[in-house]
Amino acid sequence: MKKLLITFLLTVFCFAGIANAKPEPRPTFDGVTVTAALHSGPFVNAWGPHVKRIKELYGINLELVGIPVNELYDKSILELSMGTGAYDIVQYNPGWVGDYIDFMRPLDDYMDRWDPGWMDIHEGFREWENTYGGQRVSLTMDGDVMIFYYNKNMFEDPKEMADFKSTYGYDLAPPANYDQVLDIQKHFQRDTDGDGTIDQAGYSDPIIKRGRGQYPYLMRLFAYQKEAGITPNYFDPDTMEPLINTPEGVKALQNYVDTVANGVPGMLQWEWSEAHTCFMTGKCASLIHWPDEGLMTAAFTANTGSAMGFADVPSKANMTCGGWVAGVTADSANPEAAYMVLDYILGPDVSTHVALYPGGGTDLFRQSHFDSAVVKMIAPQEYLDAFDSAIGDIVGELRIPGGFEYYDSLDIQVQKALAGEISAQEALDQAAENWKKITKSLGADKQKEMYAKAMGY
Amino acid sequence: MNWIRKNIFGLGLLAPSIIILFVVSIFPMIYTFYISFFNYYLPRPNRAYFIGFENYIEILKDGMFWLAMKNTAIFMISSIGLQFIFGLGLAILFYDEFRGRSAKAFYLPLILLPMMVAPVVVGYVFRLLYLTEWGPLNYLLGFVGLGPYSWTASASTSLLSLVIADVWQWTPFVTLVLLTGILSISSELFEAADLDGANLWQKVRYIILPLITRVIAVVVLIRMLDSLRELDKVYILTQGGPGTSTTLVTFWSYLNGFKYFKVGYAAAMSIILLIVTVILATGMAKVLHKEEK
Repeated sequence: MKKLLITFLLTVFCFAGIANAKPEPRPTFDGVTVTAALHSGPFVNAWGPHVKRIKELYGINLELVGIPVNELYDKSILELSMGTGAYDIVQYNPGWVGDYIDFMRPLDDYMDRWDPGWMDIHEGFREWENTYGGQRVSLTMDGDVMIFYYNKNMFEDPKEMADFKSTYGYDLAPPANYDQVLDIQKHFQRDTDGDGTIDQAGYSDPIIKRGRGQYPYLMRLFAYQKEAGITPNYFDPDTMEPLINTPEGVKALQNYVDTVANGVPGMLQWEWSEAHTCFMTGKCASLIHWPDEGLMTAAFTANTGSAMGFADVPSKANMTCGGWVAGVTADSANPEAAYMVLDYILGPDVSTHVALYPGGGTDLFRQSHFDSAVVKMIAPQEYLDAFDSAIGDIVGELRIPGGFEYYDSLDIQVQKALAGEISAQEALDQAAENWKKITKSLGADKQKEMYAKAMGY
Repeated sequence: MNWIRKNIFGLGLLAPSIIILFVVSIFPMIYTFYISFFNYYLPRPNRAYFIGFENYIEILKDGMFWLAMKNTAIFMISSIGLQFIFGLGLAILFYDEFRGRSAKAFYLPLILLPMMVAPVVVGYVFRLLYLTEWGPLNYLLGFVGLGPYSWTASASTSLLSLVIADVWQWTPFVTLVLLTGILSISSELFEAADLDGANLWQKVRYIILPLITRVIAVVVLIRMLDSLRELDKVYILTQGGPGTSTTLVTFWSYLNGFKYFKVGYAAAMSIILLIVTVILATGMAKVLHKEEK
């Protein structure tokens, strides 16, 4: 009885201790320089205003190195693999983690001592973006996810609705699947000024041009996999057999090809900016894009005279299509100071300002962002709800070594199909062959193990 | 030993050049050759291992490599062909002008201008010119009822877009070299031809072309080697797309080396390209040698 009582008291004491545990005070690092390699432009701009405050609070000289987005991967990998120690912090796409992991420092120890508001990071991003093999290695810095935007005037116009219903046999509304996306594309595709050139589309994918053109295909693949009752996957996790050239994959690519073919001329070379402009100027009736547009409803209404509508992406098969995290490099001479910078800028308080920085490229990624009174004042609730819901549907990026090459070799074949050089089946068969080669060259067993880790199997 | 002592001053003068050449050219080439026999994935530098000729075999079996070679050949032949035709035309046009000093001062900077622009800038300028909806090229074509064309966004016109940009930039160089060749021909030959009543085509066919064959061979060789390493415009204008329509062999090599970090594979591809370049250069050298005889 006495033993039991002591055990009980000890347990109470321990839990009371944890409950009362105060986080360690943040240390200062007078004169220490921390260099952060960031996506040039938006992220450097959004972090810039905090350099002075970081110096005041921690004594850290924060140097921001801007690298163009399409060179971020190669430049940072070159520095990291050569062990130059040039960067203390690097920004990277969670999909690249398989190549970065050996060069990054696990952050568990720091996070335990100085909580960066870990549990406040939206649960849709928290674990899959930032942990690898059970260790926390990064912090989310951008809440990328896809949202379906539509022009309410166009979608709710009685004549358009009647015409659509008579042609396709169902109501014009945000699409439930990608077959409906194609119908919307065809319905709104027209030459509005009668000059013989198509100048209006029903829909645009977020990015089509060579480089990241695989994403719209992958979103469709996961959508068709879900519709067929299959768990969205890149590979069969037991055999590492690619699942991209399955019947669902072929359907997905054919839909992508048809949707682009029924768009406007030049769509094949569209980057995110062209897609954005097309929608914001009323030339595209709908768009799947990152969350930026939702904070631009006033500009949209001023341009088009319409309200902006928000919905889930078809089949609720979502992806970050990029996304950004930041970590501390293993060869950093000042890892604690580097962590303090991340903790400050990406923590709950300051990150709200960073996320709202005009043109800062950072989307909401913390629960507290969604609850913020300032955010609610700027963004329509309908948008915040759609955004919040979308995060819950994310299928993770391909976070294994060679992730970049897998994506790029898929993109090459997808682009060939989009350009009409080969059929969807041929393109995907070739892409699957290339994926097998990449897996073989990086070690099939190792890749299988990494894939299981990355996808959480 | 004696020879070294005797020539120590000369060797001392040569040493800096030899050291620089070794550091920036010879050593990298030897090292490239060495790593081409390894499975070397840059994010895992400590796990590189020897695989013999496997990279070379893989490249020769790689459909993308052959497609890139085909694209490069099409790009090279069409681009150099057009540059030669336009270059020769302009050289003949400027022949009389260049014999007058003031006219030369006026035309020369105009001709040189495109050559002085960095290829990356040429890429950006043409990217704007080629815009489907707002591009000046489609706007101008619209006046004669043509277009709009999706210049870089269509697999059927994308390679042509690269060729046009390349022709714009390098025709002046070809013009200048050919003009130098034509100016070196004795004017008496042209006067004699005039007396015989030869027309322009006959002068080109029987005087200019036979007498500047070596100059042509040199300019074609230089442009061939340049075309083989064309990267900037592809990178800026098309990124190798749409599809694979503008993936030239250098871009494919760049992707493997600097995007996929398959360093051993990319090194093997560079060695193959080097062999192709040497074969081309030797072929052209033979043409020159034949002419000399």
